[in-house]
Amino acid sequence: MQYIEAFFNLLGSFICHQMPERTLRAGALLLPVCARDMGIYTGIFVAALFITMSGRLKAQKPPSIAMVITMCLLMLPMILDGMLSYCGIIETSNAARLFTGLFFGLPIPFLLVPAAHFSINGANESKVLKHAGELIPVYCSGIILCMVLFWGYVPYFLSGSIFALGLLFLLSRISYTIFTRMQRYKQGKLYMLATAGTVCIIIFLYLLSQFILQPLKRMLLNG
Amino acid sequence: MTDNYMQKKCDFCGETIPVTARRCAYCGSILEVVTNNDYRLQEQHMAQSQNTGEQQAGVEQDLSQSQNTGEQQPVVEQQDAGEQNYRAGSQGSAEPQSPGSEDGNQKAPPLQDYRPSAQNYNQPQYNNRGTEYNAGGTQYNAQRPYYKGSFTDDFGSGREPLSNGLKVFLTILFTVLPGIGQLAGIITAIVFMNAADKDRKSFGVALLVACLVLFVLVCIGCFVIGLVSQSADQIW
Repeated sequence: MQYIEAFFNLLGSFICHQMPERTLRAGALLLPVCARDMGIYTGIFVAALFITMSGRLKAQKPPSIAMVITMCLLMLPMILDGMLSYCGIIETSNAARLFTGLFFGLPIPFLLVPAAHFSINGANESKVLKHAGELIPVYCSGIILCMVLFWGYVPYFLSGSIFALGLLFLLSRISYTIFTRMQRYKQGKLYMLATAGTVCIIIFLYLLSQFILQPLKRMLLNG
Repeated sequence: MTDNYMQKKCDFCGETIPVTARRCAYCGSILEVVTNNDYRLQEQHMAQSQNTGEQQAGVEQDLSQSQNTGEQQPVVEQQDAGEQNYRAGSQGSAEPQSPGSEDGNQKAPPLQDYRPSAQNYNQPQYNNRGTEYNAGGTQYNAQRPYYKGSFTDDFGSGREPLSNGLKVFLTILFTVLPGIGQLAGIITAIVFMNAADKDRKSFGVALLVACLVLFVLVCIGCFVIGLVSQSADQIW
């Protein structure tokens, strides 16, 4: 268990400040990332799970404009919450951070997946979301998962895995999208390059964290 | 003749690029690729036409088939011959000779003025810079015999493509505003991706990918901002 905790904490240190007062708990253990990040990666995980289970990982058509505007409006609270609390205008809570983070993370896979496969010349018939009603179970399951996480009912291993899988999906999908849009590689080579790209991003984040962000954190919080 | 030596004009910016290029080296637009098979077939056809002394007319007739009805084709051939003579310096004023009449055995019929007129050009066509396309030329461009699809098809709705200045402005606008800028960028990108023309679609996809990547970078940047705000709280 110590190794698992150390692994998740290391992964969390790449992208999060991990301040204890802003972090949720699973039993006696602190989750690997803060409440806001936990919400974001839970959202990404839930949406990615929905897309994978419905077999739409190669969907081409993005959601309709109305759906995208709705999702973007739901992303706004996290941006406002973050900006206003950083400016010291409002006092925010972990619950607000968690749920606004969830609404921020949920739309990302629905936009990333068609961004890779959208064809400029083709008809783009396979939709990532067939109708707006499909969003309701996705958002509901995300809210329920966040409530359970907030109350600390989810075991540490499971919550850490949700975060790790969400992060891995995001990084690998960005890498895959960039290589796919280059339109230079065939499918087999594309997967290899996307995997290599993901590893490179993780190494870059590790180096950034070890040599810049963590020293900065120690300097700012202790000095 | 190898693929590398064959050139075409970019659908979006009009610059000359290799025919096999998937992306324009000048404007970065993703292009419709002419596959090797299409290219070879057209090259064979071109060679056959050359043998019969109808090279120019043959290639351009292929291109004109998607644009003209059968009744219009003879007129197009006459226009092609006229263009050849025009390029040779005849200016179309004297009676031009057709390719098959070099030996003088056949007398070429008088040709019509091939230059654009209201009858030959029902709708104006534009290049990416917003200037009239082929002004003073023919309806199709002999400089690019392997142009796949007609010009009108490539731009779909017939709307003028976005100018490069507008693209740069939008990209900068959506980049410099953290969070809100990317949100607006995503919405704009989806609007462009739902447009009918390829130029907007291509820009929309690029904008969507850029905004999503920037979102992730902004989130990592918030790490530092959070630390600074926390340390400021401790100091005060």
